[in-house]
Amino acid sequence: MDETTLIYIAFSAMAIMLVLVEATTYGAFAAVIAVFAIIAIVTLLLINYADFIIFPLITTILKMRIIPAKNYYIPKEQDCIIKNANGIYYATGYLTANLYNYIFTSEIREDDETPLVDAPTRWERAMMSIKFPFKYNLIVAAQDVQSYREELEGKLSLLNFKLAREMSSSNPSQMTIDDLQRQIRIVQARIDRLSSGEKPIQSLMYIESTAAGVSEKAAMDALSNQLKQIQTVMSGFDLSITRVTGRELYYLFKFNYFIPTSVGDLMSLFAYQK
Amino acid sequence: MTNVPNFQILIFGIFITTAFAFAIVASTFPASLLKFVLGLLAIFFAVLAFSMRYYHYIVIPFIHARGKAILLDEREPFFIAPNGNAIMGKDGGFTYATMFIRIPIYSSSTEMSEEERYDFSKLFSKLVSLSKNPIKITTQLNILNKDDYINKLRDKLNDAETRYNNILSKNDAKPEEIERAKGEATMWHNLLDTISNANSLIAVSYASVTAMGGDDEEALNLAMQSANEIMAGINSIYGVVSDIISTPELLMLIEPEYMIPFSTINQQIKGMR
Repeated sequence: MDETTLIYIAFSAMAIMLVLVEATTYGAFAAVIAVFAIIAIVTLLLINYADFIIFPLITTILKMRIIPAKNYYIPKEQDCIIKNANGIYYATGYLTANLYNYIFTSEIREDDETPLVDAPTRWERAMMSIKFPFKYNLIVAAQDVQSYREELEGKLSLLNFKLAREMSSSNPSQMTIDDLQRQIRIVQARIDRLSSGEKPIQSLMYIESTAAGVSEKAAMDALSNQLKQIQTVMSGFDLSITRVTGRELYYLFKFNYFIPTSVGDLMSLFAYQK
Repeated sequence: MTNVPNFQILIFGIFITTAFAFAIVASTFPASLLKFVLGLLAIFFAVLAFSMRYYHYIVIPFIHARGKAILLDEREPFFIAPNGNAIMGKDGGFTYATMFIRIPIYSSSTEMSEEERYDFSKLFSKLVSLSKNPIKITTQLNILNKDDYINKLRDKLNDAETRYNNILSKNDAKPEEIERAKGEATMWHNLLDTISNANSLIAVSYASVTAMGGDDEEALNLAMQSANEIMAGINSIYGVVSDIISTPELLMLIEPEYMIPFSTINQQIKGMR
């Protein structure tokens, strides 16, 4: 959770808590107001962590479509963007393509070059298997090496401190020690990579595909098939692939034309739909 | 498009203040239905305030929504810069310009040795860390625009069918002449079917960069500056000559109807019926 979200959630929760702690003064309504306050707190968490479920649910119930720009609309299901041009419907959908965390790679196969050697061939094979329009998008920005290094060194110091404390405790847990040692190795591997000249980057990857049809439904069905095929084709890569629905769809549509000029904002928009 | 808009903070401020106001006022009342209603309003506005974190852009359009449609923007999503090498848009008093830079790499991994493949991957790692400002690197598969080719084939087929009909209408037509004309018409027919029913795809790789400015000229200049830096980086990393993609090719990267050409898809849809 980024700082801005933390501030928003803290203030909202405070207002709700103000009602909740006073619940006993509501007389006959005490239980009801307490239940509503708890539901509200759960709703805050749902909006924060699963708004891609909540938002499409609301638009589906209300049967509302969103018009993000001239000639485009997002249907009530919130899973694609549709354009009608020359009597043909074009449905565009998105898949997240988050790289799985390379914890194990960092830890045990640090010097293994196989993934890098195989990558171009695997990529070409995937491209050859796809027989319809699609885009693989990677939004990247290099991070400041010095500040990232300082961040890692801070993390390493903290982990070393925790390890020393665990080892000197009266009843040390071997499982905790092993876990801390593993985390230290990962952070150290990252510091070593920085020392060897690699630059840290912030990245966001997503896949986009467009399908055409004579009706809205035909285009949407064709799109769903295409996205499923992409998921199958890309399953050979270390990617976590999920169909994008809800709010993020609107932002990805806008990224087709203009990408954010700040990485922080970009990342805060796409924190949870993985 | 970029920074957290002031509008978001403003609307959050209004809602959260309202929530606190209702909560405080409710706490001063004795137990009653009014207190309960005030408490409920406080909870409602607190939830509404937090939802502004993600949905601030939809609040005003939602209030103004007519029927079942929420209109976020009635303008085209972009307009083309006068020289055709960028797309532009306006948002929140700023102008945004995006330029697209071709990454002309045509070698296949099948032609590379193991060492070359490793180097290629390492070079790509360098490419993605080119800029501290966000850049988008895209590989795209488009359906090849075969409209002209299909039209030529149709003309050829029409000519061949006319010739065949003319020969058939002749009383003294030789059987081998009829056979040849029929064969030619069938050949063009089959060729048209094959060409129009199969997707021919074309792959394009490009980087895109967006710049924000106070007016069109400033945004375009800043985008051009960033694009030049990225082009220099691509050229030095891969040893190729990259260039800025202009119209009409530019539209193929952003507009669905250019990504899937109309007559090609029309022909395919006819074929599917």
